[in-house]
Amino acid sequence: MRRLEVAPLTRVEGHGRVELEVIEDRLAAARVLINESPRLFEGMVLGRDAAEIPSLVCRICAICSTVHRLAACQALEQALGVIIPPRAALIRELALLGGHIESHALHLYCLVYPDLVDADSVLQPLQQGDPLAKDGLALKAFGNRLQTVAGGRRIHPINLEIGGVLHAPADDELAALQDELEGWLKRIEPLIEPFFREDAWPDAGPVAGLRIAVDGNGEFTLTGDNLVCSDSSMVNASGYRDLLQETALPDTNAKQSRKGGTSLLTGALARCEFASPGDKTTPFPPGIHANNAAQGLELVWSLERAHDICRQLRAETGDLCSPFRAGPGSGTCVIEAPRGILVHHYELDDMGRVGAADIITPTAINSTAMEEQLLADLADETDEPTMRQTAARIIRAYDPCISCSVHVLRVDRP
Amino acid sequence: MNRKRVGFFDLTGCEGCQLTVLNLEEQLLDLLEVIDLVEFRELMQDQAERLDIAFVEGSVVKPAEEERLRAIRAKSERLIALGACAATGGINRLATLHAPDHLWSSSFGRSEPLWEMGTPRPLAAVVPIDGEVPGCPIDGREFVSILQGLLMGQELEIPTFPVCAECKLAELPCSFEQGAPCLGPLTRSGCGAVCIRGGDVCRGCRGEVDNPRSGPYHRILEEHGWQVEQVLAELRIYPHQADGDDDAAAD
Ligand code: SF4
Ligand code: SF4
Repeated sequence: MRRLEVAPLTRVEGHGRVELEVIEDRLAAARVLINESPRLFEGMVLGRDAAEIPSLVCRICAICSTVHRLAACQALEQALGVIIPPRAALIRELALLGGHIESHALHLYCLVYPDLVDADSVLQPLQQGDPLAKDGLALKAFGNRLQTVAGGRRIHPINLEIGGVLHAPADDELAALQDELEGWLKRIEPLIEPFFREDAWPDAGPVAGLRIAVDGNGEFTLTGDNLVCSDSSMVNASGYRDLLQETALPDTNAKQSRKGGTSLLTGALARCEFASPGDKTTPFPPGIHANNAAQGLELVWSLERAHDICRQLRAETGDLCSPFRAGPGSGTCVIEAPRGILVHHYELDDMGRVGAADIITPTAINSTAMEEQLLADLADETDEPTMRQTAARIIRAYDPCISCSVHVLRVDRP
Repeated sequence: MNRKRVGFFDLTGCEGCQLTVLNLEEQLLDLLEVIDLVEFRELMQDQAERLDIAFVEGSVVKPAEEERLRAIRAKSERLIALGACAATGGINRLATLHAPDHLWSSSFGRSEPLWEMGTPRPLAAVVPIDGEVPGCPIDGREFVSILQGLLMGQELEIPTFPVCAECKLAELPCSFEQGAPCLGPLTRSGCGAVCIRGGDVCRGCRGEVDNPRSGPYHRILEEHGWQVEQVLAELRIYPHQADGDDDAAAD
């Protein structure tokens, strides 16, 4: 038996590596290992006042700080029985879309695109003046701009608090965004085209895992109250444990999500399979690499939706924040982060302090499927360098965010 | 001109400080004209032998990180802490307020640790450092000016006056006047009071000013009937010197 390592995994978020076990030239086992040191956030928030939690937990992950902060706000609002004003909900969604655009653009253009043009990093195409890399980076910057206007800062937003938001973007800022969004909508098609190319990917088999997503009742969505699964089951957010069945595996230091022994897939591809975000009919590329194209479709949807929200917000004058009182309660939020389902659950004591917290991230949900996919797609591969390279590309297709290991899956011992 | 070899590294943190560097976008491309970027895991595959300037993000938590940090120190002319996690231990230091078994059981449902994990420490607790870029996250503009200074061979300097001064200069409404305690009078400036500008209070992410109790801004607390300890207790997210440190530089 030989052990091949793809380490460190570059061009993914966070520290990770892949271990492949090869017996007689064939892949026999695959493991995705995480050597990030988790920060035990669920323990760190214990005993703290609910009002402090959103700004604390957004520090779990920089890329997803907006959606973490929103998930915390929504779960805590549910616990405290707070209904936020409609205007605040729109401003929050704008921030969420900004995060979605920035994260997808970062993944597609900085992390995946170099594979398509045979480069080590996006710096090469950029320095050669490749217009696609340049526009991709500009789109990422634009996602950041949306987050700044709606959230107050690109990373670790300031504006999103329990009850609503702290301030509203000025009308001229919204008008400028509207113009820029129109510009992007005219230019976006050719920008996502490369990720639909059929010949740009390694051979790939069917995508592993039961699909799960936040339910939009037939419409594409990032937010909602229920989780839906491709085996037709559906649960309310508060029943997330039934669906995700996250368990700590004693021998492997692992915490994995699976359903009745089946792996789960969450993220752009799963979302787009439940409800298409647009009317583009170009077929997705084969296998898990379709996730990249699905992210492309979501970029278009996000730009359209953001445009619509800016228009609505310009006509809104209502309240920004609902008052709330500290007290007991429990609440759960399920929301679509760029990489898939994110769950935040909190229980508050009589003083409104956190007594228990549970946070489940999409990369934790996808881990079992990743390993299955490596085994399936590399089953016929005997060439070592190709095996390594393809393994890295498969992992990259999931857009894993290893730094969000609030829960880790299988931990590399130091 | 000999271009300086610059690298970025991350220990335990959220990668927000590195992402702030990536988010410089156009400006980052300009910087790449004058530096030689030799290591940045998130962006590229290379690993360098020697560096003129190493920026290190995150706290030291695992024993392996201690080794890694020493190795980076050994190959770098100057080592700069990038952000609060690296400079002060940052938000990671909240873990020190809980018993370890409690932390493990609330995150993993079992109280025995799953791997060796020490108290989250700032870089300076393990190796000598040559300066810090404060903040959680760092401020992109401040990073650029610090880097430019380093490229010209200057010593790294960060502001010595508190956020409160920047807030007054921008004529923002004082948090204390609205009844909300704020760490602005005690916290190192340089962020443009971005949180107060955004309707929030300052939570002290940039660390404490050098002499928090001696400056004129300290009086603002007293005028509003607050003691330093009281404000810190209300808003303690980032560690302050008042915590009583085990962080004294080793070596
Ligand atoms: S200082 Fe803040 S932004 Fe920077 S790595 Fe630490 S938690 Fe993230
Ligand atoms: S206002 Fe305070 S908390 Fe906000 S960035 Fe500045 S120092 Fe950090």
